[in-house]
Amino acid sequence: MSALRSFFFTLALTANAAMAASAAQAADVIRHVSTTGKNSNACTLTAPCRTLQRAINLAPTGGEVRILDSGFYGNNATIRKSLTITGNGFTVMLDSPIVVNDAGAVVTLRGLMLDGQGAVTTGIRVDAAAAVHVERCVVQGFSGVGIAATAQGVGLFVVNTISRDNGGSGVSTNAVRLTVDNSRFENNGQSGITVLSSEATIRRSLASGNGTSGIIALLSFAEIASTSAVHNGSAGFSAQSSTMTIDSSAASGNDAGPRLDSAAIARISNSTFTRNATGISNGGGGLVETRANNTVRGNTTEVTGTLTPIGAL
Amino acid sequence: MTNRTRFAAQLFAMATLAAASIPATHAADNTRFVSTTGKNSNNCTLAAPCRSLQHGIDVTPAGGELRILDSGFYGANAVIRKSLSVIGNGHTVYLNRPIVINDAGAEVALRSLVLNGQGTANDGIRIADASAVHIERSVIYRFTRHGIFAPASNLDLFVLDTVVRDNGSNGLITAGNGSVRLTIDNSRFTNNGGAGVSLAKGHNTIHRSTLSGNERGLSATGCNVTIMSTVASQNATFGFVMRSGAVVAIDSSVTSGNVQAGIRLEGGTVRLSNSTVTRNGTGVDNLSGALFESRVNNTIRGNNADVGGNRTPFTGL
Repeated sequence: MSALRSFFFTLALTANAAMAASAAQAADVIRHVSTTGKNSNACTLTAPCRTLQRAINLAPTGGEVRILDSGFYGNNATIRKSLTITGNGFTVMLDSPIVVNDAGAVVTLRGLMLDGQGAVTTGIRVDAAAAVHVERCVVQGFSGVGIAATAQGVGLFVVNTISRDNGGSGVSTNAVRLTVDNSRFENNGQSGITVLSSEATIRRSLASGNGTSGIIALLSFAEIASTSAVHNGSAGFSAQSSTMTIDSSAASGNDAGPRLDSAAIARISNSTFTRNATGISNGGGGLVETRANNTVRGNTTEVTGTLTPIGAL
Repeated sequence: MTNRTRFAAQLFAMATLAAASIPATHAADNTRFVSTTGKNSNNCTLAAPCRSLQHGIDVTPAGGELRILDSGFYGANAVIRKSLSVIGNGHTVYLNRPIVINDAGAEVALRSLVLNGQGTANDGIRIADASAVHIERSVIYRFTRHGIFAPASNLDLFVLDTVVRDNGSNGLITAGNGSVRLTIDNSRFTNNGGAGVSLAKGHNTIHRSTLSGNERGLSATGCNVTIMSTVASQNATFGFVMRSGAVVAIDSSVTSGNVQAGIRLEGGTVRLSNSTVTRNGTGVDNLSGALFESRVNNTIRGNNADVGGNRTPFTGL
């Protein structure tokens, strides 16, 4: 046997051994990647793989990939099945977005720090999925959008996550059901969150210091609670051909608090809009229903356009 | 070629391709490491980390990231003059001097750091100049002066999920002359010798935070502050104290157990809604010349004196 043949014979034996182990232990669906790993490894904890894509490929459907340290993990990372990627707070740098592209997949990205360093366009891109959970992640420094989802009908859940310092928006969705809780969208070049043709529920979150508006709804439904939109270049809450509900929330230091176009509806209660250029901006002629319990005070102009008071039930 | 050798050749080609996809030094691999067991002659890699925080900062490319691998003393200085993330992973960093950020265009993130001044270092973090600074999931304590001292102008400062406590003077103080924009969310400023948060400039937002057990919770002079869902309690003098030129909106917040007053107006304007003020010396103490506007939906009750001075009601929209 030549040295080369002997090498591949050993490889084959190793592969057989790995298969035997996985057959014996059906529950071991965890694969590991490390910056010191090798893609010829079996992606175990003791012999991790090198690239995120390789570990994704090797992880069984419904399995988990764990990141063992911080660094560069390859050019691509495309997920085409149900999978959990757990970052444990480590930073993953790639040359392109983490892409989710499988219509039936339920994917969780948890504890990842994604840093685009201004060179990569998008942090997380959902092209197709059943549901995507982004939990405890930091998405920063991408030249375009931090988290982008354009998959028809996908449920996107952004929880305990920060999307900041991106050139585009922190989050951008098209035709998505979006849920945001306890998350922050800061210092992005465009909006904190933009939803188009989507349903969005945003709670206990913050959109601060973004270039355009804090939260923008276009042709969408958005329910916003206990959320602050502050220090944004345009409106705190922008409703365009959308229905937006704002409760127990604040907007300050923006060009406007809520701003509506002529085809928008906003229902506003228990909220404070202060020290904006305009407190409630309805000059476009939309429908602003207020519960008459909002503090709209201390803005340069308190209200433009018409407010329609509604009673509590 | 037999089937077997063809298979071997393909395998070999795949292995070569896989190896080629990760060059030894990749353009995007801008993560550097420091450890208390490192050496500054190293390349600051995970396997060969550097020793001092300053050296780690110096060798990290602009826009890159520096990670702290364990807890301990990391040198006399740490001055950051570029965009950078410093990630502490919960480890404690001791220095002789503050972490200083001093570059007009820099975007800096300090994340998961524990900074312990041990009662000898003066400030924890000093922001002399920056475009944006993010302080996240950090603990800053036992400095003789300020936990976070931001004299920078034209600064966007974000403080999230952070605890600033047990410092000799203020937990956080801004003092820049330009348009400072401060956003605080889910953070605690406790047991500081001065103010939990002391603001003198710009536009400020405090959201879901606690200002407790300080000499005073928040002091604001000549600036705008919006306060939501925040507690100011058990401070030695005032929960909130406003001086000349301060315009402060307080919503859905609690002010309790402050010895002299919950809310004290020595100047400026306060607009109070949906809030509770209780068990303070005086609930709202409005000295002459200031404006206390109330939405008439606040619970100001159970203070030694509930309201001192004028109260101006206003109507909700």
